[in-house]
Amino acid sequence: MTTTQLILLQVLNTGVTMGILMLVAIGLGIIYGLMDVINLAHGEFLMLGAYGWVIARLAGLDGWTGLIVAPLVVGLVGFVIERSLVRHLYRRPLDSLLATWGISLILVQAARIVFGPAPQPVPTPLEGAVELFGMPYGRYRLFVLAVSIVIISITLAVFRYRTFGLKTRAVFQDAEMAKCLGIRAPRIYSAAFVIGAALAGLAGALVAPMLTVAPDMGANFLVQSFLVVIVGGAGSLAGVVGGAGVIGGIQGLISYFSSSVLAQVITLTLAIIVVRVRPRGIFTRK
Amino acid sequence: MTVIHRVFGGRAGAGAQVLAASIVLALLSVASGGIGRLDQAAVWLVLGLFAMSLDLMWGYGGLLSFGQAAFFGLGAYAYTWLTTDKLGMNLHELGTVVGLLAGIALPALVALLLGYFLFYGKVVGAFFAIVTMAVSFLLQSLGMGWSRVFGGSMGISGIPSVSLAFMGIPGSTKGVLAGYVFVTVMAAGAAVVMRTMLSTSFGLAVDGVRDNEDRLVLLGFKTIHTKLVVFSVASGVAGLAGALYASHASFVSADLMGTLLSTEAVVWVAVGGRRSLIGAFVGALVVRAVGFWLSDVAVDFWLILLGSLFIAMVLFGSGGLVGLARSVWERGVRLVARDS
Repeated sequence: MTTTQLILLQVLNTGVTMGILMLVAIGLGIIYGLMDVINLAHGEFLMLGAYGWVIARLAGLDGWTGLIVAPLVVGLVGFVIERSLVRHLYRRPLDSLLATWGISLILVQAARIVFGPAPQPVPTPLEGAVELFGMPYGRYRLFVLAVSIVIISITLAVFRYRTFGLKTRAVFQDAEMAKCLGIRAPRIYSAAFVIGAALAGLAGALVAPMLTVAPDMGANFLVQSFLVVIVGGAGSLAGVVGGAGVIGGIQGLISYFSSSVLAQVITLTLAIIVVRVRPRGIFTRK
Repeated sequence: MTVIHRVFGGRAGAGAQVLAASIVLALLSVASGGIGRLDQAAVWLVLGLFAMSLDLMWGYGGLLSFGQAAFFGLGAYAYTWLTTDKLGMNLHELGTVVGLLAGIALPALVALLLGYFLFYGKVVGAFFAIVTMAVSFLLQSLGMGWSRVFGGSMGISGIPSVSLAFMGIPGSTKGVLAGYVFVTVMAAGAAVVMRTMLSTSFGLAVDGVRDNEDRLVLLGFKTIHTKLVVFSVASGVAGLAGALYASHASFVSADLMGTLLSTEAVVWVAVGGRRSLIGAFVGALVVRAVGFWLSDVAVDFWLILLGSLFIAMVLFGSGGLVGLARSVWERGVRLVARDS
């Protein structure tokens, strides 16, 4: 393998990591930006999404349906949690932190009871590899890359060009003023929460065949999303996407040379230093 | 009543309260399971000390840490590194006391360094919680993977317990009763130190930083220094608890630095009652004792119960057990006053 091919391989792998990370972090960022709620159960949304394959298999559906089932189921779970609990916690970041951690513990244990504590493998729905620039690359990884690019683009476009997106950005900037202008902020909150949950669920379904599925797999992604929000700031979607790019890129680069845990430790150290220099994240204007 | 106030009030009173709680726990333990159960109860005392350190951060300092176990675990590992052959730094006899001191010093220094970046970076409130949570989570992951230093998934066992031979006290703190007494004395001592710190003018500054930091800045206080001291002292106390745990259980693993212990401590403080050292201490004892009792019945549902406690304390949050005791006490006092 030539050096160019090696670099290319690394770029593709990093792209996959970034894509997944963006899908998870967007939800966390929107929810925090809109309603000052830090959702510690966000990692569990990803975990439930990953179990979408298992659910689909148990329901006797064929391979691909897992990918559709996951965001729908997780979106529904998100809706229930938002309506029953989170709506009491708008603008109370510390309380939301404690309550959603409670949800997180309950969901992890529930998954452990329902699906068993052992990690389960999920068969790849797309076998084999394609020839890319003279080297083989996993079909499924390429598929994940494509799906995440498409979904993130759609999400960004909705928030940029659709009326729903306009209203959301209005609430984002000034909730009181938006309400005065007749925007139903609570509906925006619910919708944003459900979309964030569904995106995390989709991310879970996408990563599942590349990893194993386990009840406690969410924590790792949650912490990575924190890093994204710390580096990028939670003030804007661009910040979250940029932050995910930086974190995913650094992770991809370092984990090529050493372990992924060390990569995360170094990223956290960098993030803490970044906080000292740029308190509001590097992608937010001061 | 003046007797009660004289014994349990004031600076030394915090120690007396811890002592009283420990004696009650000892009596209950021995009554329910014989002298051997003190071994388990001593671990709960250690966790009670750990809960007090988080209460200093959260209840008094207003800094909710979701990663307090990082410092507990670092203290445990600092003790372990100096008393075992793991890193080739075994100091043997002397090592246990030096290890205990290192168990305080290492977490305190790490907190000072971390706090420097975070507090000057204006990381407060929920962001402080998630950064500390990330620190705790990643230390745990690092510990799992780096077995040469942290023992990996197997942990490190065979850690010697603290020896007080240099003070002319023979034997070690290994025995069931000796271990319990030693942990009690250390916890009571730490409570007195924290209470003393909080009852000085520095303690008033801590109250001020919690209630209205901007105003204190306006008055010319260097609030970042105040927060650094609180963070550092609380982490030192957490580290002491960790070192005592290592000495008592003679086993450490990466889980001691992890998020589950970090967040469980938050529940202890909330159940016991924030801004009350003895409340946090008793909170840890009660929640752990209930968990121990429930583990016979339904081990599967313990985490679900813990999660529900988190939700309950947000939705129906109040002063915890201490708040409850205080209102009952005041009602009693009123009744007595009316009768006389």
